Amino acid sequence: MVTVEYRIDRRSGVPAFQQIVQQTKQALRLGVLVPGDRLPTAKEVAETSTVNPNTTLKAYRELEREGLVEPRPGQGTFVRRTLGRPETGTDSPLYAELVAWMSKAAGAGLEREDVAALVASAMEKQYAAGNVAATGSTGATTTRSTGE
Amino acid sequence: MSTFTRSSTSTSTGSTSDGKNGTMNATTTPADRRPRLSGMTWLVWRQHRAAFWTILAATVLSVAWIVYQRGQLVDFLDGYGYPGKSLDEAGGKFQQYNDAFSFVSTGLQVIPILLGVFLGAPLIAGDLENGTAKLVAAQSMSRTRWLATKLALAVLVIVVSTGVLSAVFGWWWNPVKSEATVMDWTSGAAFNTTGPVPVALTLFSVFGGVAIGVVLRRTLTAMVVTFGFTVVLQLVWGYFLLSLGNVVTVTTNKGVTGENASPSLPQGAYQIDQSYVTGSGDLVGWGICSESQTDAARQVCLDKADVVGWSVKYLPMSQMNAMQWFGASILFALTAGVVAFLFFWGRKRLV
Amino acid sequence: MSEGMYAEEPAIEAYGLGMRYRRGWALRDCSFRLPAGRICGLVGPNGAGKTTLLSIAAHVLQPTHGSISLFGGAPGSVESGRRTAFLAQEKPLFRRFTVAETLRLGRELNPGWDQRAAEGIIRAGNVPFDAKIGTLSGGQRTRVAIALAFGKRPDLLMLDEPMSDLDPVVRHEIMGTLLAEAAERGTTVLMSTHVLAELENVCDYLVVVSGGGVRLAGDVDELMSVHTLVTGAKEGDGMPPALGCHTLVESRTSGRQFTALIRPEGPVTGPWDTNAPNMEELLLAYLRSPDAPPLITPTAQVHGQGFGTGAVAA
Repeated sequence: MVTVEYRIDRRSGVPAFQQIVQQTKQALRLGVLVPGDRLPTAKEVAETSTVNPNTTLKAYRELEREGLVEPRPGQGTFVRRTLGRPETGTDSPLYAELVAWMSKAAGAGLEREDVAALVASAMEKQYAAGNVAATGSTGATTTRSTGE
Repeated sequence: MSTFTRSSTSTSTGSTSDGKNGTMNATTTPADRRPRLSGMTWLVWRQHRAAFWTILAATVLSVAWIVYQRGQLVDFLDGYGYPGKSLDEAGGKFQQYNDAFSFVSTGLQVIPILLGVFLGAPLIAGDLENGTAKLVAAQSMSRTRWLATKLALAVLVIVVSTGVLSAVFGWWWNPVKSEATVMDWTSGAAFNTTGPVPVALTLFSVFGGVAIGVVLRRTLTAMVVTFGFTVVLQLVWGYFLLSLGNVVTVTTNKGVTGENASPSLPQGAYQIDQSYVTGSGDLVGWGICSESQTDAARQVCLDKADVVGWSVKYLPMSQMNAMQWFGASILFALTAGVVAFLFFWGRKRLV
Repeated sequence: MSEGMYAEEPAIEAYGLGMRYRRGWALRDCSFRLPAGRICGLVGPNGAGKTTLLSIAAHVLQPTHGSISLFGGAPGSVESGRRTAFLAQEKPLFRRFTVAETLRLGRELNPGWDQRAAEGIIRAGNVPFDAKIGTLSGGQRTRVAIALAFGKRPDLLMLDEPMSDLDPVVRHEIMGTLLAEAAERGTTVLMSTHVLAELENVCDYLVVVSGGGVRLAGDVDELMSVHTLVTGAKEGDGMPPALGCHTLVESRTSGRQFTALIRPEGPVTGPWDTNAPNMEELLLAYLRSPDAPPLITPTAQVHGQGFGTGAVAA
């Protein structure tokens, strides 16, 4: 069973293996992937996303180094642990605070883009030293920023 | 190998159509009926099967026609009382049998040209032009093997087809072989259609066509050039045909004007040249005294020139077989040379 | 994948390979090494000799200069004939054969034939087995040709402009099939193209040939990491002299700005913007600047009987 399909953006300038790492982590965070799931094989990724199998293997080695996945010889690569935390759920108090802040912003007449810019710059300030690339969908960014 | 092949064929067809029995039968029945081709032989036969089957089918039809014609001929001859009675007296009644010979022999003489143009020229030029030579070269078998298989199958089909036709045509002709009115044995109609000659002429024409195709690498151009080559070959062959024999010279010494002065040649002999021979053994043209007005004056003239008899050069029909084999062996040697060139070229640049 | 196991075994080694015709050089002084298990893009402008190089490797042409070895054997040897497959640009097939007969051709002529793999590739494209090749579309024909090549179970697959006449959907589909098969078998792939976008994320190895021979060869990651794209304000008429200590591949100026692709020989300091180039930028820079010093990374260098081509220019 293939649980995720990688979407490789060839124009983004982000190397494909990094995109695979990011998207896998994103899936772990959102609970799309849970421990015990098998990641798609390099062959499957190659077939659906036309990505060099060596690239996929490189990404999986990176994920393995971070302790997120483990290869089982002859079976594939499996998820070891999740990145999801209680704080990232929509029932967490942080989420409620953010929703409240959003409605305040909307009340002050801020457009969607204004909010995104504010969030991005606040995030930049907070996590400047971090290695998280500020890309991906706005929704995902928001969730992450409220998480810690 | 064949088990593997067969089972995998059935899986491939089994999933595309559910009629398993039908597909199994379709794949195994032909294998049982005729020797199953495999490897390179299969490929070459499959690629040229239309040409090969056409040649073989045309051969079978021609053989049937010839067998029928021979039956007709023999029936007529038996009814007529040949060879007791000369065919010269048959007149118009024999004409249709004569026509049948000239019709079929013309067809047989065109075979080298036809096969040279339509089998020889495209045999490899087609693969070079379409790039399929590259396709074959990209497989695991050596290109020498490919070339050898192509040539070998062509040889097989040509030898079988022309060999059988030659034998059957010779068999048809045999009852009236000595009748120069039917076919003169030195003419192309008889010489080039019997014995080893049709095989040798066709082989050389076809292989010449193959070589031309290989050099030109374009099918159509190769066919046109091959047509020219085969026609020239026929002309050259016709020109040198008589040189293949050992000319027999017969001389007389009973003068040149008398009743029995001319030497008697064996039946079916082909006279090449005749001239007067003098007492000293020199030859002089038989026109030497033709200006003389009277027989007496001519005799004086002849005596003055010391003409003692005729000298006649001819080829006896008994030499036909030897001449055919001699000529054919020259053609076979030339063909071997072409084959050597093809293999040499195949090692150098085949695709 | 066999990457770890075979990383050091070379699939291809070319030594000073050249092909000279009466009208001039079709390929000149070409030396490189391709380790096994890689998917390598062969890039160059039209007429640079990509087809010639592949044809020599596939034993279709005899080189006039130098030599090439495939898994240590000469092209045309039984061994290399068995281990390599070549798909020519025009994808020649017998037009009157059916698809099934075309696969039978592969089966009859190749001892290690894998009917299942070949049929799988055909079936993935829904190509009918009883259709004559002449009636197929370009994409279907390419698929059959690829099935024929993969059915041979090659260790090295060489493709000359495999996607050139395909629409984007088929192109994606065929490329996916190609990569998936390569992934499953650890096949080394050498694929020529002049569509640079086709290579991004597909290739992990590159060989760039143009006029003077091999311009760039090596691991994509390595090649990318040693290049930097610098953008900044022009100083005077030309490039800032401070950049002079680095190897300059290509520089362009527009208005007051300059853009340069360099191989840094040390830290790049200055009032400039530095970026990692993407593959297309890197390739374009090398293709546009025939005088730029070639770069052949250690894994792509041949040793021994080379003709002394000066693999890495200082």
